[in-house]
Amino acid sequence: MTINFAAVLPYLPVMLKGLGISLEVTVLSFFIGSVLGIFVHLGRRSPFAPLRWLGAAFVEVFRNTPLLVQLYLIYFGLPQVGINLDPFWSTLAGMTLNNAAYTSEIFRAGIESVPTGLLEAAGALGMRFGQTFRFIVFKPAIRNVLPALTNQFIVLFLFSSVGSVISLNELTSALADLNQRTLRTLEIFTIGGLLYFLASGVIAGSSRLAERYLFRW
Amino acid sequence: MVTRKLAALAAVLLTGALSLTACSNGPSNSGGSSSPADSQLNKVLKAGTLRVAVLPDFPPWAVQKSDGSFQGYEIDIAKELADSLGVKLKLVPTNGDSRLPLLQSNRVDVNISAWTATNERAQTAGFTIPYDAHGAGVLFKKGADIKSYQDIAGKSVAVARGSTNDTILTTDFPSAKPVRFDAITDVISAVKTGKVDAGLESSYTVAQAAKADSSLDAISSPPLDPQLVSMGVLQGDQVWMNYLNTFIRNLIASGEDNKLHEKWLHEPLASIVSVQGNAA
Repeated sequence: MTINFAAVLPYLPVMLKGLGISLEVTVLSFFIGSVLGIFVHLGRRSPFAPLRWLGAAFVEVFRNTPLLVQLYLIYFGLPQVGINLDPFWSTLAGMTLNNAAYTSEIFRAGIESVPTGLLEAAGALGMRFGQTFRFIVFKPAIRNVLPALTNQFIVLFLFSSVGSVISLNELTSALADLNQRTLRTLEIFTIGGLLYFLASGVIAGSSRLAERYLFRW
Repeated sequence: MVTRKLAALAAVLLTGALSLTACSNGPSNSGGSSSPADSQLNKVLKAGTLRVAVLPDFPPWAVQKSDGSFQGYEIDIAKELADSLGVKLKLVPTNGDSRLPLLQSNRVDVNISAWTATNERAQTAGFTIPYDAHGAGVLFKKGADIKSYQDIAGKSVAVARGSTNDTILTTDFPSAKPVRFDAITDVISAVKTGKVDAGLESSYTVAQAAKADSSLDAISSPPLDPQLVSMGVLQGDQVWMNYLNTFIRNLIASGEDNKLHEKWLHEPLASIVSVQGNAA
């Protein structure tokens, strides 16, 4: 079979629909996971020992096991204890927990990178804890780790492809189905790769814009 | 100086590319002529050995054990074929990609490797009459409202992505909702955990899954949409083809094919195949 990209273009709407689901599950799991990650990190700094252990255990479990294994456990394993989730919610749950583990470590790096001298200065100026945290700790910490967070967002987006194994109809699953139907492997996966590349490029670009305009000193 | 070197390199690459295309386009599918002396049949009888390509990883049709020996339904058929010729049997493992190349490079005389005789494949390989048919069966949880194949219409059905069952579902049951998994075990897990209403897989697989799990049930007989499985040979060798066809017809008529099928697959030979052995 000769290479023929035009033969694959009619399937672009199917691929875009899959891309939409990939993006949807990524955006939701990133933001929910990041918020969860902040709480996990705060838990690890708490004076309560059980809370520290729980936080540490959570991070170790979800960071040191593959997402595929986590998704299999959630989708096929949980029904054995009575919890039955559909592919979208299973993928969302798995990616959220996975992301929370990774971002809690990223936030730890960010918060620890703020010099303690700044905190002491804030205290000397009479700033309340809330003000200190928001202006002196949080915003500079995020600015420091924005590249790491962008990385995490893009990696999470690319990992959404693992959802295809538990029958989620995202982009990779659409590509695999089209490949079986038309056998035009090179054309389909080139266009699919291009779609992933462009979407990741948009994420990276908007992160750079945010760095320049939202997180200026 | 540089342009001359580049020109020489380009000339070498171009010649190489052209000769490669010339090689790959050459027809290499023709077997011996129709003269009995040139036929593969004669070659096998003279050599005293029948070389058969079989699958090593498709139980119970054919599987290679850890000690190197083979066993299975198709292995027994290969043994009968060798006995009918009065020659020794040599089994050569193959896979989906190498079935035709093994014939073309004369490393095997015949393929008995669960080879489905599709129209597309028949344009490049020679197929005998079928000796087996693989069809689909439906797997579902006990208590589901499924009494016949038609009941899967409108339900969510798990299939292995790109398999013949995937095609059967999309063409014969357009109202059913396909849920595609990469692995056959995932199809069975999805039915077991209630993620889908039913699963469509090979009739043998669903029968075994229902037997192994008391919460599952299956409809597998007669198999849905049977795909005909034939022995594969090179095109053009009519004498060899005739012998194999005669052998298969006699195997079916004597009931031996059905006996082997029951022994390994615990279900009778599909009627679309066994009808070939009926007296006219």
